Amino acid sequence: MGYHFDFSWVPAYLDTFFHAFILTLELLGMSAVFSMVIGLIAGQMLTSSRRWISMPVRLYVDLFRLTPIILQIVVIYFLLPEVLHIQISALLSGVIALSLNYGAFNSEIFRAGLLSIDRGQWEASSALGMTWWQALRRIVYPQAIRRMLPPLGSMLIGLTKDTSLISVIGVAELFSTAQSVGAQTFRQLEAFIVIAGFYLIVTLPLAVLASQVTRRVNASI
Amino acid sequence: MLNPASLPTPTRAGIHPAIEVRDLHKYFGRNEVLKGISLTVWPQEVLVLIGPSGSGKSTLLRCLNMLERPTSGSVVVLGNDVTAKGANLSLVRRDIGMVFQHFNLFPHMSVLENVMEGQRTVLKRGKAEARETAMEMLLKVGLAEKSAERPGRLSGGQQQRVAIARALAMQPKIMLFDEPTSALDPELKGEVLDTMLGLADEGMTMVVATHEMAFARRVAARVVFLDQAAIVEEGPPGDVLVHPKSERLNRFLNVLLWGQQDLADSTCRSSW
Repeated sequence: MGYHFDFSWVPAYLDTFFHAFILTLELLGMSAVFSMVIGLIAGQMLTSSRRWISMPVRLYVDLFRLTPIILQIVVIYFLLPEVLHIQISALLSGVIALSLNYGAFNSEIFRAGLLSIDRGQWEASSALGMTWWQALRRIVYPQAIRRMLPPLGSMLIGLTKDTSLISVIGVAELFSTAQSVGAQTFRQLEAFIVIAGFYLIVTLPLAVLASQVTRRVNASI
Repeated sequence: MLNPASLPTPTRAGIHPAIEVRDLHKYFGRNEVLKGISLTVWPQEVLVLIGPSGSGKSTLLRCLNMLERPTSGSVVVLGNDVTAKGANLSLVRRDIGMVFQHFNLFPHMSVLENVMEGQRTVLKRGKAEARETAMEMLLKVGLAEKSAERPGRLSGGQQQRVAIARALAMQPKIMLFDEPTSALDPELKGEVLDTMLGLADEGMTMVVATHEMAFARRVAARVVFLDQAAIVEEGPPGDVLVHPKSERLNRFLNVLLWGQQDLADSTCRSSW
Protein backbone atom coordinates (compact mmCIF):
# COMPACT_ATOMS: atom_id res chain seq x y z
CA MET A 1 0.00 0.00 0.00
CA GLY A 2 1.51 3.25 -1.10
CA TYR A 3 -0.41 5.56 1.17
CA HIS A 4 1.47 7.09 4.05
CA PHE A 5 -0.72 8.19 6.92
CA ASP A 6 0.22 11.52 8.40
CA PHE A 7 -1.49 12.72 11.55
CA SER A 8 1.27 15.15 12.55
CA TRP A 9 -0.92 18.16 11.65
CA VAL A 10 -3.75 17.09 14.00
CA PRO A 11 -2.58 18.88 17.21
CA ALA A 12 -2.63 22.22 15.37
CA TYR A 13 -6.27 21.65 14.39
CA LEU A 14 -7.55 20.10 17.62
CA ASP A 15 -9.18 23.36 18.59
CA THR A 16 -11.04 23.50 15.27
CA PHE A 17 -12.24 19.93 15.63
CA PHE A 18 -13.28 20.57 19.21
CA HIS A 19 -15.42 23.54 18.21
CA ALA A 20 -17.05 21.43 15.49
CA PHE A 21 -17.66 18.69 18.05
CA ILE A 22 -19.41 21.15 20.38
CA LEU A 23 -21.54 22.38 17.49
CA THR A 24 -22.45 18.78 16.62
CA LEU A 25 -23.44 18.17 20.24
CA GLU A 26 -25.64 21.27 20.17
CA LEU A 27 -27.25 20.07 16.97
CA LEU A 28 -27.74 16.63 18.50
CA GLY A 29 -29.03 17.90 21.84
CA MET A 30 -31.66 20.22 20.41
CA SER A 31 -32.79 17.76 17.74
CA ALA A 32 -32.98 14.93 20.27
CA VAL A 33 -35.21 16.94 22.61
CA PHE A 34 -37.48 18.28 19.87
CA SER A 35 -37.79 14.95 18.03
CA MET A 36 -38.76 13.23 21.30
CA VAL A 37 -41.40 15.86 22.05
CA ILE A 38 -42.76 15.64 18.49
CA GLY A 39 -42.75 11.84 18.68
CA LEU A 40 -44.55 11.86 22.03
CA ILE A 41 -47.33 14.16 20.85
CA ALA A 42 -47.64 12.89 17.26
CA GLY A 43 -47.51 9.27 18.45
CA GLN A 44 -50.36 9.95 20.85
CA MET A 45 -52.37 11.58 18.08
CA LEU A 46 -51.74 8.62 15.76
CA THR A 47 -53.53 6.35 18.24
CA SER A 48 -56.66 8.50 18.20
CA SER A 49 -59.79 6.97 16.74
CA ARG A 50 -60.88 10.43 15.61
CA ARG A 51 -59.72 10.68 12.03
CA TRP A 52 -59.45 14.46 12.05
CA ILE A 53 -56.77 14.06 14.69
CA SER A 54 -54.90 11.05 13.33
CA MET A 55 -55.09 11.77 9.58
CA PRO A 56 -53.04 15.01 9.44
CA VAL A 57 -50.40 13.43 11.66
CA ARG A 58 -50.33 10.31 9.49
CA LEU A 59 -49.73 12.55 6.45
CA TYR A 60 -46.86 14.34 8.17
CA VAL A 61 -45.28 11.09 9.36
CA ASP A 62 -45.46 9.42 5.96
CA LEU A 63 -44.16 12.51 4.17
CA PHE A 64 -41.04 12.52 6.33
CA ARG A 65 -40.59 8.75 6.42
CA LEU A 66 -40.87 8.28 2.70
CA THR A 67 -38.59 11.01 1.36
CA PRO A 68 -34.79 11.22 1.70
CA ILE A 69 -33.65 13.05 4.81
CA ILE A 70 -30.97 14.97 2.92
CA LEU A 71 -33.68 16.29 0.62
CA GLN A 72 -35.72 17.40 3.65
CA ILE A 73 -32.71 19.23 5.06
CA VAL A 74 -32.13 21.18 1.85
CA VAL A 75 -35.79 21.90 1.15
CA ILE A 76 -36.45 23.15 4.67
CA TYR A 77 -33.34 25.33 4.50
CA PHE A 78 -34.52 27.07 1.33
CA LEU A 79 -38.25 26.92 1.99
CA LEU A 80 -38.53 28.21 5.58
CA PRO A 81 -37.30 31.78 4.92
CA GLU A 82 -39.67 32.01 1.93
CA VAL A 83 -42.68 30.78 3.88
CA LEU A 84 -42.03 32.50 7.21
CA HIS A 85 -40.37 35.65 5.82
CA ILE A 86 -37.67 35.51 8.46
CA GLN A 87 -33.96 34.93 8.33
CA ILE A 88 -33.11 31.65 9.92
CA SER A 89 -29.65 30.31 10.63
CA ALA A 90 -28.47 27.16 8.90
CA LEU A 91 -27.98 25.57 12.31
CA LEU A 92 -31.57 26.19 13.37
CA SER A 93 -32.84 25.07 9.99
CA GLY A 94 -30.86 21.86 10.43
CA VAL A 95 -32.30 21.34 13.90
CA ILE A 96 -35.81 21.73 12.49
CA ALA A 97 -35.20 19.26 9.66
CA LEU A 98 -33.65 16.62 11.93
CA SER A 99 -36.37 17.11 14.55
CA LEU A 100 -39.17 16.72 12.03
CA ASN A 101 -37.59 13.67 10.42
CA TYR A 102 -36.72 11.87 13.65
CA GLY A 103 -39.97 13.07 15.21
CA ALA A 104 -41.82 11.21 12.47
CA PHE A 105 -39.98 7.96 13.13
CA ASN A 106 -40.20 8.42 16.91
CA SER A 107 -43.95 8.94 16.70
CA GLU A 108 -44.29 5.44 15.22
CA ILE A 109 -42.36 4.07 18.18
CA PHE A 110 -44.58 5.91 20.66
CA ARG A 111 -47.70 4.80 18.77
CA ALA A 112 -46.63 1.16 18.73
CA GLY A 113 -45.70 1.29 22.41
CA LEU A 114 -49.08 2.70 23.38
CA LEU A 115 -50.98 0.18 21.28
CA SER A 116 -48.97 -2.71 22.73
CA ILE A 117 -50.63 -2.16 26.12
CA ASP A 118 -53.59 -4.44 26.63
CA ARG A 119 -57.01 -2.79 26.35
CA GLY A 120 -57.86 -4.33 29.71
CA GLN A 121 -55.44 -1.92 31.39
CA TRP A 122 -57.46 1.02 30.07
CA GLU A 123 -60.70 -0.66 31.09
CA ALA A 124 -59.53 -1.45 34.61
CA SER A 125 -58.38 2.15 35.01
CA SER A 126 -61.68 3.55 33.71
CA ALA A 127 -63.67 1.18 35.90
CA LEU A 128 -61.84 2.57 38.95
CA GLY A 129 -63.00 6.03 37.91
CA MET A 130 -59.74 7.29 36.44
CA THR A 131 -59.90 9.90 33.72
CA TRP A 132 -58.24 9.29 30.34
CA TRP A 133 -55.30 11.42 31.41
CA GLN A 134 -54.88 9.64 34.77
CA ALA A 135 -54.99 6.22 33.09
CA LEU A 136 -52.44 7.32 30.50
CA ARG A 137 -50.05 8.80 33.05
CA ARG A 138 -50.36 6.31 35.90
CA ILE A 139 -51.09 3.02 34.15
CA VAL A 140 -50.37 2.98 30.42
CA TYR A 141 -47.20 5.08 30.05
CA PRO A 142 -45.22 3.46 32.86
CA GLN A 143 -45.70 0.14 31.05
CA ALA A 144 -45.36 1.43 27.50
CA ILE A 145 -42.17 3.41 28.10
CA ARG A 146 -40.27 0.21 28.90
CA ARG A 147 -41.08 -1.10 25.47
CA MET A 148 -40.31 2.24 23.80
CA LEU A 149 -36.87 2.80 25.31
CA PRO A 150 -34.82 0.27 23.29
CA PRO A 151 -36.02 1.49 19.86
CA LEU A 152 -35.78 5.13 20.98
CA GLY A 153 -32.17 4.42 21.95
CA SER A 154 -31.39 3.22 18.43
CA MET A 155 -33.03 6.34 17.04
CA LEU A 156 -30.79 8.52 19.22
CA ILE A 157 -27.71 6.77 17.84
CA GLY A 158 -29.05 7.23 14.31
CA LEU A 159 -29.64 10.91 15.01
CA THR A 160 -26.05 11.35 16.20
CA LYS A 161 -24.74 9.97 12.93
CA ASP A 162 -27.21 11.89 10.80
CA THR A 163 -26.13 15.26 12.19
CA SER A 164 -23.36 14.86 9.58
CA LEU A 165 -25.97 15.40 6.85
CA ILE A 166 -26.43 18.99 8.03
CA SER A 167 -23.05 19.68 6.40
CA VAL A 168 -24.91 20.08 3.08
CA ILE A 169 -26.32 23.41 4.22
CA GLY A 170 -22.94 24.68 5.40
CA VAL A 171 -23.13 24.23 9.17
CA ALA A 172 -19.59 23.85 10.50
CA GLU A 173 -20.27 20.62 12.35
CA LEU A 174 -17.81 17.71 12.39
CA PHE A 175 -18.30 16.42 8.85
CA SER A 176 -17.99 19.74 7.00
CA THR A 177 -15.12 20.76 9.28
CA ALA A 178 -13.29 17.57 8.32
CA GLN A 179 -13.85 18.45 4.68
CA SER A 180 -12.44 21.96 5.02
CA VAL A 181 -9.55 20.94 7.26
CA GLY A 182 -8.74 18.17 4.79
CA ALA A 183 -8.68 20.68 1.98
CA GLN A 184 -6.29 22.92 3.89
CA THR A 185 -3.89 20.18 5.00
CA PHE A 186 -4.23 17.92 1.94
CA ARG A 187 -4.91 15.13 4.45
CA GLN A 188 -8.57 14.44 3.69
CA LEU A 189 -8.61 10.76 4.71
CA GLU A 190 -6.89 11.44 8.04
CA ALA A 191 -9.33 14.26 8.78
CA PHE A 192 -12.29 11.91 8.30
CA ILE A 193 -10.66 9.26 10.47
CA VAL A 194 -10.21 11.84 13.24
CA ILE A 195 -13.92 12.79 13.25
CA ALA A 196 -14.91 9.12 13.23
CA GLY A 197 -13.35 9.11 16.71
CA PHE A 198 -15.52 12.04 17.78
CA TYR A 199 -18.71 10.30 16.62
CA LEU A 200 -17.71 7.15 18.50
CA ILE A 201 -17.19 9.19 21.68
CA VAL A 202 -20.93 9.82 21.59
CA THR A 203 -22.34 6.68 20.00
CA LEU A 204 -20.35 4.03 21.89
CA PRO A 205 -21.61 5.03 25.36
CA LEU A 206 -25.12 5.39 23.90
CA ALA A 207 -24.95 1.87 22.45
CA VAL A 208 -23.75 0.43 25.77
CA LEU A 209 -26.49 2.30 27.63
CA ALA A 210 -29.14 1.15 25.13
CA SER A 211 -28.18 -2.51 25.46
CA GLN A 212 -28.21 -2.26 29.25
CA VAL A 213 -31.65 -0.66 29.20
CA THR A 214 -32.87 -3.36 26.81
CA ARG A 215 -31.53 -6.08 29.10
CA ARG A 216 -33.23 -4.58 32.12
CA VAL A 217 -36.50 -4.16 30.26
CA ASN A 218 -36.43 -7.78 29.10
CA ALA A 219 -35.62 -8.97 32.61
CA SER A 220 -38.53 -7.06 34.15
CA ILE A 221 -41.16 -8.48 31.80
CA MET B 1 -98.12 -2.54 23.99
CA LEU B 2 -96.29 -0.76 26.79
CA ASN B 3 -93.04 0.89 25.94
CA PRO B 4 -90.76 -0.03 28.84
CA ALA B 5 -88.77 3.16 28.38
CA SER B 6 -91.76 5.28 29.34
CA LEU B 7 -92.60 3.51 32.57
CA PRO B 8 -92.04 5.43 35.79
CA THR B 9 -89.17 4.32 38.01
CA PRO B 10 -90.45 1.38 40.00
CA THR B 11 -89.86 1.26 43.71
CA ARG B 12 -90.13 -1.69 46.01
CA ALA B 13 -91.47 -0.77 49.43
CA GLY B 14 -90.14 2.72 48.88
CA ILE B 15 -86.64 1.52 48.00
CA HIS B 16 -85.08 2.86 44.81
CA PRO B 17 -83.32 0.46 42.47
CA ALA B 18 -79.52 0.28 42.49
CA ILE B 19 -79.52 -0.09 38.71
CA GLU B 20 -82.36 0.53 36.32
CA VAL B 21 -81.85 -0.57 32.70
CA ARG B 22 -84.45 0.45 30.16
CA ASP B 23 -84.83 -0.76 26.60
CA LEU B 24 -81.10 -1.06 26.06
CA HIS B 25 -79.93 -1.62 22.49
CA LYS B 26 -76.35 -2.11 21.42
CA TYR B 27 -75.00 -2.60 17.92
CA PHE B 28 -71.48 -3.56 16.95
CA GLY B 29 -71.54 -2.40 13.36
CA ARG B 30 -74.69 -3.99 11.95
CA ASN B 31 -74.71 -6.75 14.51
CA GLU B 32 -77.27 -6.19 17.28
CA VAL B 33 -75.79 -7.63 20.49
CA LEU B 34 -78.44 -6.29 22.89
CA LYS B 35 -82.04 -6.21 21.68
CA GLY B 36 -83.93 -4.01 24.08
CA ILE B 37 -82.90 -5.17 27.54
CA SER B 38 -84.88 -3.90 30.54
CA LEU B 39 -83.71 -4.90 33.95
CA THR B 40 -83.83 -3.73 37.56
CA VAL B 41 -81.22 -4.50 40.19
CA TRP B 42 -82.27 -3.84 43.77
CA PRO B 43 -79.92 -2.84 46.58
CA GLN B 44 -78.19 -5.76 48.32
CA GLU B 45 -79.38 -8.10 45.61
CA VAL B 46 -77.16 -10.60 43.81
CA LEU B 47 -78.25 -10.83 40.21
CA VAL B 48 -76.64 -13.54 38.10
CA LEU B 49 -76.54 -13.32 34.31
CA ILE B 50 -76.28 -16.65 32.54
CA GLY B 51 -76.34 -17.52 28.90
CA PRO B 52 -74.21 -18.97 26.12
CA SER B 53 -71.10 -17.20 24.85
CA GLY B 54 -72.10 -14.31 22.63
CA SER B 55 -75.52 -13.99 24.25
CA GLY B 56 -74.69 -10.42 25.29
CA LYS B 57 -74.24 -10.82 29.05
CA SER B 58 -70.74 -9.36 29.00
CA THR B 59 -71.84 -6.43 26.86
CA LEU B 60 -74.81 -5.80 29.13
CA LEU B 61 -72.52 -5.78 32.16
CA ARG B 62 -70.10 -3.41 30.44
CA CYS B 63 -72.96 -1.06 29.58
CA LEU B 64 -73.74 -0.69 33.28
CA ASN B 65 -70.57 1.33 33.93
CA MET B 66 -70.32 2.67 30.38
CA LEU B 67 -67.21 0.74 29.40
CA GLU B 68 -69.42 0.05 26.42
CA ARG B 69 -71.62 2.86 25.17
CA PRO B 70 -75.13 1.61 24.38
CA THR B 71 -76.64 2.57 21.03
CA SER B 72 -79.95 3.52 22.66
CA GLY B 73 -81.83 3.10 25.90
CA SER B 74 -80.90 4.26 29.35
CA VAL B 75 -79.01 3.00 32.38
CA VAL B 76 -79.67 4.70 35.70
CA VAL B 77 -77.19 3.81 38.44
CA LEU B 78 -77.93 4.97 41.98
CA GLY B 79 -80.17 7.66 40.59
CA ASN B 80 -77.67 8.93 37.99
CA ASP B 81 -78.46 8.47 34.30
CA VAL B 82 -75.05 7.31 33.07
CA THR B 83 -76.22 7.27 29.46
CA ALA B 84 -77.07 11.00 29.55
CA LYS B 85 -74.85 13.32 27.56
CA GLY B 86 -72.27 14.93 29.81
CA ALA B 87 -72.75 12.44 32.64
CA ASN B 88 -69.75 12.45 34.95
CA LEU B 89 -68.69 8.85 34.40
CA SER B 90 -65.60 9.11 36.54
CA LEU B 91 -67.79 10.07 39.49
CA VAL B 92 -70.36 7.30 38.95
CA ARG B 93 -67.72 4.63 38.36
CA ARG B 94 -66.28 5.18 41.84
CA ASP B 95 -69.43 3.60 43.21
CA ILE B 96 -69.32 0.64 40.80
CA GLY B 97 -66.51 -1.85 41.27
CA MET B 98 -65.70 -4.15 38.37
CA VAL B 99 -63.92 -7.48 38.22
CA PHE B 100 -62.77 -8.75 34.83
CA GLN B 101 -62.34 -12.19 33.33
CA HIS B 102 -58.63 -11.58 32.77
CA PHE B 103 -58.08 -9.71 36.08
CA ASN B 104 -56.41 -6.70 34.39
CA LEU B 105 -54.16 -6.02 37.36
CA PHE B 106 -51.49 -3.37 36.88
CA PRO B 107 -48.32 -5.43 36.28
CA HIS B 108 -45.88 -2.59 36.99
CA MET B 109 -47.15 -2.18 40.55
CA SER B 110 -47.01 -4.36 43.63
CA VAL B 111 -50.20 -5.99 44.90
CA LEU B 112 -50.48 -3.31 47.58
CA GLU B 113 -49.97 -0.50 45.05
CA ASN B 114 -52.65 -2.04 42.84
CA VAL B 115 -55.14 -1.80 45.67
CA MET B 116 -53.97 1.70 46.62
CA GLU B 117 -53.96 3.15 43.10
CA GLY B 118 -57.64 4.02 42.71
CA GLN B 119 -57.80 5.43 46.22
CA ARG B 120 -54.77 7.64 45.60
CA THR B 121 -55.48 8.80 42.04
CA VAL B 122 -59.27 8.94 42.00
CA LEU B 123 -60.35 9.44 45.61
CA LYS B 124 -57.23 11.52 46.45
CA ARG B 125 -56.77 9.69 49.73
CA GLY B 126 -53.55 10.19 51.63
CA LYS B 127 -50.88 7.51 51.48
CA ALA B 128 -51.37 6.24 55.02
CA GLU B 129 -55.13 5.99 54.69
CA ALA B 130 -54.92 4.31 51.29
CA ARG B 131 -52.38 1.83 52.60
CA GLU B 132 -54.50 1.02 55.61
CA THR B 133 -57.64 0.47 53.53
CA ALA B 134 -55.66 -1.59 50.99
CA MET B 135 -54.27 -3.87 53.69
CA GLU B 136 -57.75 -4.26 55.16
CA MET B 137 -59.10 -5.35 51.76
CA LEU B 138 -56.18 -7.70 51.13
CA LEU B 139 -56.80 -9.24 54.54
CA LYS B 140 -60.42 -9.68 53.58
CA VAL B 141 -59.54 -11.63 50.42
CA GLY B 142 -56.87 -13.54 52.36
CA LEU B 143 -53.81 -12.13 50.59
CA ALA B 144 -52.29 -9.70 53.08
CA GLU B 145 -49.03 -11.65 53.07
CA LYS B 146 -48.68 -11.14 49.30
CA SER B 147 -48.89 -7.33 49.46
CA ALA B 148 -45.28 -6.76 48.36
CA GLU B 149 -45.40 -9.19 45.42
CA ARG B 150 -45.89 -8.29 41.79
CA PRO B 151 -49.20 -9.63 40.43
CA GLY B 152 -47.32 -11.72 37.85
CA ARG B 153 -45.96 -13.91 40.64
CA LEU B 154 -49.41 -14.90 41.92
CA SER B 155 -51.68 -17.71 40.79
CA GLY B 156 -54.75 -16.87 38.71
CA GLY B 157 -57.05 -17.30 41.68
CA GLN B 158 -54.89 -15.04 43.82
CA GLN B 159 -54.73 -12.43 41.08
CA GLN B 160 -58.50 -12.39 40.82
CA ARG B 161 -58.82 -11.96 44.57
CA VAL B 162 -56.42 -9.00 44.38
CA ALA B 163 -58.62 -7.59 41.62
CA ILE B 164 -61.62 -7.92 43.93
CA ALA B 165 -59.69 -6.18 46.72
CA ARG B 166 -58.70 -3.41 44.28
CA ALA B 167 -62.35 -2.81 43.44
CA LEU B 168 -63.49 -3.03 47.08
CA ALA B 169 -60.90 -0.48 48.21
CA MET B 170 -62.98 2.19 46.48
CA GLN B 171 -65.84 1.26 48.83
CA PRO B 172 -68.27 0.80 45.93
CA LYS B 173 -71.98 0.38 46.37
CA ILE B 174 -72.28 -2.05 43.48
CA MET B 175 -69.91 -4.75 42.22
CA LEU B 176 -69.91 -6.07 38.65
CA PHE B 177 -68.29 -9.42 37.89
CA ASP B 178 -67.59 -10.26 34.25
CA GLU B 179 -67.05 -14.04 34.16
CA PRO B 180 -64.62 -13.82 37.07
CA THR B 181 -63.71 -17.51 37.09
CA SER B 182 -63.76 -18.31 33.37
CA ALA B 183 -60.01 -17.84 32.93
CA LEU B 184 -59.16 -19.94 36.00
CA ASP B 185 -58.20 -23.57 36.35
CA PRO B 186 -60.99 -25.54 38.03
CA GLU B 187 -59.07 -25.97 41.29
CA LEU B 188 -58.61 -22.19 41.59
CA LYS B 189 -62.23 -21.20 41.05
CA GLY B 190 -63.33 -22.08 44.58
CA GLU B 191 -61.23 -19.43 46.35
CA VAL B 192 -62.67 -16.71 44.11
CA LEU B 193 -66.25 -17.94 44.47
CA ASP B 194 -65.79 -18.14 48.26
CA THR B 195 -64.65 -14.52 48.28
CA MET B 196 -67.69 -13.52 46.25
CA LEU B 197 -69.99 -15.50 48.53
CA GLY B 198 -68.57 -13.64 51.52
CA LEU B 199 -69.24 -10.36 49.78
CA ALA B 200 -72.82 -11.36 49.04
CA ASP B 201 -73.31 -12.33 52.69
CA GLU B 202 -72.25 -8.81 53.70
CA GLY B 203 -75.08 -7.44 51.59
CA MET B 204 -73.11 -6.15 48.59
CA THR B 205 -75.19 -5.40 45.51
CA MET B 206 -73.73 -7.64 42.82
CA VAL B 207 -74.29 -8.31 39.15
CA VAL B 208 -72.43 -11.42 38.06
CA ALA B 209 -72.04 -12.83 34.57
CA THR B 210 -70.94 -16.43 35.03
CA HIS B 211 -71.19 -20.04 33.95
CA GLU B 212 -70.94 -21.27 37.57
CA MET B 213 -74.38 -22.77 38.10
CA ALA B 214 -73.61 -23.82 41.66
CA PHE B 215 -72.80 -20.22 42.50
CA ALA B 216 -75.98 -19.00 40.81
CA ARG B 217 -78.05 -21.55 42.67
CA ARG B 218 -76.55 -20.77 46.04
CA VAL B 219 -75.95 -17.02 45.97
CA ALA B 220 -78.25 -15.44 43.40
CA ALA B 221 -81.44 -13.70 44.44
CA ARG B 222 -82.42 -13.68 40.80
CA VAL B 223 -81.10 -15.35 37.70
CA VAL B 224 -81.44 -13.77 34.26
CA PHE B 225 -81.00 -16.00 31.23
CA LEU B 226 -79.89 -14.21 28.08
CA ASP B 227 -79.84 -15.80 24.66
CA GLN B 228 -79.36 -14.22 21.26
CA ALA B 229 -79.12 -10.70 22.70
CA ALA B 230 -82.38 -10.79 24.66
CA ILE B 231 -83.64 -11.83 28.09
CA VAL B 232 -85.40 -15.17 27.73
CA GLU B 233 -86.20 -15.98 31.36
CA GLU B 234 -85.65 -14.45 34.75
CA GLY B 235 -86.59 -15.35 38.31
CA PRO B 236 -85.34 -16.97 41.49
CA PRO B 237 -82.69 -19.63 40.84
CA GLY B 238 -84.93 -22.29 42.36
CA ASP B 239 -87.39 -21.73 39.54
CA VAL B 240 -85.26 -20.72 36.60
CA LEU B 241 -82.48 -23.27 37.05
CA VAL B 242 -84.62 -26.15 38.23
CA HIS B 243 -87.78 -25.75 36.20
CA PRO B 244 -86.80 -23.86 33.05
CA LYS B 245 -89.87 -22.82 31.06
CA SER B 246 -88.19 -22.32 27.70
CA GLU B 247 -86.67 -24.98 25.50
CA ARG B 248 -83.60 -22.79 24.99
CA LEU B 249 -82.79 -22.55 28.71
CA ASN B 250 -83.45 -26.24 29.13
CA ARG B 251 -80.97 -27.04 26.38
CA PHE B 252 -78.42 -24.56 27.76
CA LEU B 253 -78.60 -26.05 31.25
CA ASN B 254 -78.28 -29.59 29.95
CA VAL B 255 -75.18 -28.73 27.97
CA LEU B 256 -73.67 -26.78 30.86
CA LEU B 257 -74.41 -29.26 33.61
CA TRP B 258 -72.82 -32.10 31.74
CA GLY B 259 -69.74 -32.75 33.84
CA GLN B 260 -70.53 -30.12 36.46
CA GLN B 261 -71.43 -31.19 39.94
CA ASP B 262 -75.07 -32.00 40.68
CA LEU B 263 -76.72 -28.81 41.88
CA ALA B 264 -78.36 -30.52 44.81
CA ASP B 265 -74.99 -31.63 46.17
CA SER B 266 -73.44 -28.20 46.33
CA THR B 267 -74.75 -27.11 49.68
CA CYS B 268 -71.60 -26.72 51.74
CA ARG B 269 -68.83 -24.17 51.34
CA SER B 270 -65.83 -24.94 49.13
CA SER B 271 -67.64 -27.58 47.15
CA TRP B 272 -68.24 -25.45 44.08
